[in-house]
Amino acid sequence: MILVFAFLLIYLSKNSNVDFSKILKVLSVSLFIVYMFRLFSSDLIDGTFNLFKIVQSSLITPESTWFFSGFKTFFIILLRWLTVMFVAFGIVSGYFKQPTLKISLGFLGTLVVVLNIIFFQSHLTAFFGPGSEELISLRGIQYMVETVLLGLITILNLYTVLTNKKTYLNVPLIRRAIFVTFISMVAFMPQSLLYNLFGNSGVVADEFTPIHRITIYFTFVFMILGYLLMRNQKQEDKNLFFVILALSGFFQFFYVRRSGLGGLPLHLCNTAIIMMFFAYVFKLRGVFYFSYFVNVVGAAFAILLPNYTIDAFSISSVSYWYNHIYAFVLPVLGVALRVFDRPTLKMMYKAIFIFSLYFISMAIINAWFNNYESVDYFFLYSDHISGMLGLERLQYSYVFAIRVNQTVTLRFFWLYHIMLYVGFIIMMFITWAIYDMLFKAFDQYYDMLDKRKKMKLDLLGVNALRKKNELENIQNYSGSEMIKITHFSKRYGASKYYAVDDFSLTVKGGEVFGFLGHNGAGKSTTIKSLVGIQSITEGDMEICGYNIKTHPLEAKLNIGYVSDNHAVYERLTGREYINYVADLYMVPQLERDERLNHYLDRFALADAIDNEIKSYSHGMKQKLVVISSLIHDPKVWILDEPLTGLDPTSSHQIKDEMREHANRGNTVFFSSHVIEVVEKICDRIAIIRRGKLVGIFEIAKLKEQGLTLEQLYLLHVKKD
Amino acid sequence: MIQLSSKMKLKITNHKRFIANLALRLLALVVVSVVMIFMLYFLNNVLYIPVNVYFIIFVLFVTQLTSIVACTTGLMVDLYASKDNAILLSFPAKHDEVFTSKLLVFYINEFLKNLAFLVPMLIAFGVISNLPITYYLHILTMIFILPLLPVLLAAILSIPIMFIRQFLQSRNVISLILIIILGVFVFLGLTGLLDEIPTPIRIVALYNKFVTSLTVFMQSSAKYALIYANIGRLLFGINVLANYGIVFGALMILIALVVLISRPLFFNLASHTSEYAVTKKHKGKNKVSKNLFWTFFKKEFTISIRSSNEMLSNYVLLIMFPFIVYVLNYIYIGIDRSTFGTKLVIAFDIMISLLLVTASNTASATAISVEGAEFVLLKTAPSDTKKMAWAKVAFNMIASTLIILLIFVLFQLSLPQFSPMDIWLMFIVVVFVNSGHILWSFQIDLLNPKLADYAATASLSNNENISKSIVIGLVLSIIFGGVSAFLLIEDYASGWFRIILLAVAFFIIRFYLFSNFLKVYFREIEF
Repeated sequence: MILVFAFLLIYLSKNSNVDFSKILKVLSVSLFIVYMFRLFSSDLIDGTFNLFKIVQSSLITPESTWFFSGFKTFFIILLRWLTVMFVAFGIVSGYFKQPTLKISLGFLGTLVVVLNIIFFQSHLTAFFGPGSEELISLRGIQYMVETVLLGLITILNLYTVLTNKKTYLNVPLIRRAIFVTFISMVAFMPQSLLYNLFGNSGVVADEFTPIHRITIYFTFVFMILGYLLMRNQKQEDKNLFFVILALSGFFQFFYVRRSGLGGLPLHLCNTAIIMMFFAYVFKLRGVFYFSYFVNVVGAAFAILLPNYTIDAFSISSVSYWYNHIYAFVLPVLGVALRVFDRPTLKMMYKAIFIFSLYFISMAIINAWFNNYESVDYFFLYSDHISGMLGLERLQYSYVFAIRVNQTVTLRFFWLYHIMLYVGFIIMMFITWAIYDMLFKAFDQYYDMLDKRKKMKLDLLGVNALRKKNELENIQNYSGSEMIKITHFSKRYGASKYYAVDDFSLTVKGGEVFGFLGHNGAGKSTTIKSLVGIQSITEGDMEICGYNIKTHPLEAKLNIGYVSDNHAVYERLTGREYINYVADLYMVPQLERDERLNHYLDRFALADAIDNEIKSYSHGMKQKLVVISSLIHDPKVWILDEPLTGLDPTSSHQIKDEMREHANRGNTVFFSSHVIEVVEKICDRIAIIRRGKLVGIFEIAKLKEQGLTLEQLYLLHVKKD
Repeated sequence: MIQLSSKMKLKITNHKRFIANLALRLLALVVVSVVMIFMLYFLNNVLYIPVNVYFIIFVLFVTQLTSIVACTTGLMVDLYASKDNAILLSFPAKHDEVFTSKLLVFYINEFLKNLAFLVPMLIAFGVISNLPITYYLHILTMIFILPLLPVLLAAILSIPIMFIRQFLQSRNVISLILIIILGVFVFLGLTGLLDEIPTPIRIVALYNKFVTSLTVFMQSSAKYALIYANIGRLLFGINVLANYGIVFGALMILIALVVLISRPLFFNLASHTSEYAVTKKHKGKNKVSKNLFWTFFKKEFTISIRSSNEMLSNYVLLIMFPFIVYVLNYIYIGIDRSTFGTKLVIAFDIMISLLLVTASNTASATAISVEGAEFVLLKTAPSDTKKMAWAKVAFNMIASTLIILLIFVLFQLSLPQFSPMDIWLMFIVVVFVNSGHILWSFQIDLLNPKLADYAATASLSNNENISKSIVIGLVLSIIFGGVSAFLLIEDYASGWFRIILLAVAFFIIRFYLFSNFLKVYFREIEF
């Protein structure tokens, strides 16, 4: 019958306008409805798996009372297990096109359906007991319809695979399909399996007993493995992964028969299982984030401090663990794998709002239902939590009661409720902080890995460029171009404005070059990029032929830099500081002694050189920085506002040194506001205005034209 | 206002945000008040500590005493020794205005602190004691008066302390003698106190004695609570007018003292700290270092040795460590314990040790920031200046490991009841976790160095990297304490092995992360 139907459907899709994928969708939805009907029908879901008809509290039934032989029992259990899994695969197959799913359903699913048909009678025996098999019964018909629908889905998938062999039939895909099928079995494990196979474990999974610890470890291993396995998968595959997990959570939740008011899924982690299913299937963000902030906290507590006192292998206990592990893992993994975006604080506030509604509703429902039956949604009506904290007295001392009628009185433990509410809100904020911290840590780590990768690539590029440079021997320290700036531009951070824009300049050996501009014109920015303090956005900068980007160490070895602030360690002595700098520039002992003595005499600092720098005056510190910048006899001496705040003598000494340094064939490049000084000691000057080079001028020529530097400067800068 | 907004990060950009901010603060006030109700209930009904008028006076006294100490130390740094004084005093503003603005910042700080703790506690007290509406009206007045008291008192007290500090700064020998004398007194006091505890300690009996003594102590301390006793009484409606009179009278006197004494001395003290002082000469010789690492290490060592105050404040918790561990363990060993109890004591010791040790890693959490403007040197130097980070890490690890070693030697000598094996296994755990924490703290600063802030103020106050490092240390202590308890209870011998394994794994992970982050991010630091 299944085959006939299947061929009919294939024929229909080939010879009419009915889309093949639509047929699959109809079958998927039908299978879902039929299966849901069974989950909620009067027939116990336990019956599907519990082949021994074991009562939870009893010991395992002796072998003599088994329906089948041991091997056949195991086989039937396995078959039922696989059937439920393929039902879930079948339900999602109408909406997901993954080849893995199609191969698994097509081959393994079809095989399972065939086996179900072969062992149909044995299943009926398992449902009804030996001699009581009824085909025309609710359970029998349900089973038949399920098998037919699943059979149709599997055959249609098999047909798709076989008619597109090139796409589907390759070793990696088949291997992947087997792996996915095998790993999915964990999610669909029958809750009675452990009990059926091993009987009672003899222990309770609480108070960190070994079995409790294994459960805790399992939770985290499950989460980490899930993350590692799915991290690099396509978004579609991740969606499928979560829909199947959510569906299995849903199946597992209804595995245990829940009856009466207490059986309603209103307890926090129970609501999570239902909500996760809808959140993942229909992409409901609000529902998801409520679970993310609220359920995860509750589930974490439930996993660490379970309130179960029954055997670890009992169906109730396994059900408890399935529910709470899902409630804990699914939301966290959903965000970690980016199926849902990382929540913002706004979403958290929304979650608090929904939680508040839930809390108030539960307080009212608890107060109402307890007039008829004992219920305890979210532990609002029992002393489970207050007992742990020693607050039973407080809970029962502050009661607010409203008498509705003769039989109904609504009782609220108001102070206890407020405290529980506030406590949970605090926990939510703590959870937020933990999430936030973890997000940042992961982001940082992956950013670092990306940057490291980029650094390696850059290094390869730089090495190639270095090789090329060395081959072409472009190092051009010949006294002609000591500083070469080509189309340099600089932007800070994400700003779209350029602090310096398309700046080009060449300074020769033996020159004292002045760099003028108003405050914020871009002088310091240019200098900081030139000496390697700041990065270069665009363009190139060379010192003695060495590009600061590709040959930073060689370029820096040729630079002496005096910054616009006193970069000195106040707790060191002047000598220690100079030695520290000399070490950084690898200056040999002999040259170090010789130069230091020379400059100490020149700048009259010999008396103070062994004092701690904190006792130095402003001028002394500046002179110390000047000495340290000259200790390695740099070819290019760059000074940023070197004369600010100096007395006339100190100023004179530094100016003299600048001139002499240039006279020895080196370059002196300095920025200043003091136009008279620039005019007096510079050979050439550059004026920069709002990040753009205005012009380069020779002082001698200006003098010939009868133009003072002040007039020139004002002429250009006044344009503002 | 600039002082206020820069130091407290107040951002009143628009009314909507202001109202939202206000609503959020009010909500926080309500939430904290509820938590306080629970706490007071817990104290009263579970711990049997009487929550009454004496309790309130006692809490007022203790919290305000803490505020006075905090304000005094804070003012010493921010009022007199702040680097921004040099700029502020040169502004065309009166010295009085600078002085008042600085006090105002402290006042608002105290005001917010009280809103976060004291006020919710007073409200909670009112709720559980069913006090009348007038009680809450008095709280409303006290919200504004209470923060004024510690600030004014601190403004007066900080002056003699500043003078003493300046006197001692140039007299190292006297300082050392005073510290030793203080240490001896503290130790003698502690041992004297501990001798009062009868051994073996019976927790229940001791607890009853403790509660009785605390009750008596709270009642008798109310006599010495001075103005806070009056505030407590007026809150309860006892002699309201007379008590208000005393409180306002005291406020007037304090304001007069501040205006007459502190205000004129402010300029004197503030300018004194920025005046140059010629220090003694150090013998010096030019010498080439063996390698770059040694250059950085030598620099770090020299600066640390010469910055004894900073060193002391960095490791102050470590100095207190032996006392705390001694007191706690003296009590533990006095109790008749089961094997289970002994394991818990060890886990608790691990937690406390880590808590104190990691809180002392502030130097690592500011290792790059404290380079300030000097970082320019590292950026312009033609060498692998990343080694500076390794030198600092090595220095911090060696310094703290040596101190921890000394503490554990003292631990073993003073508490022979503990198995030496346990003590040294604990030492291994603490050293590895602490070293991992040093690397983590350093990484925090590496990713977000406050070079410009430090270059401008030379101060590390309000440094968020320090706070982060301390919080991480706290979390690590709790995690390792909890895991240790868990593993030791499960199986003692393998428990130790697994704890050490975890500590080593933690260190290795941090080492891996730090070295990678350093490679990638050090070169990106710009100044």
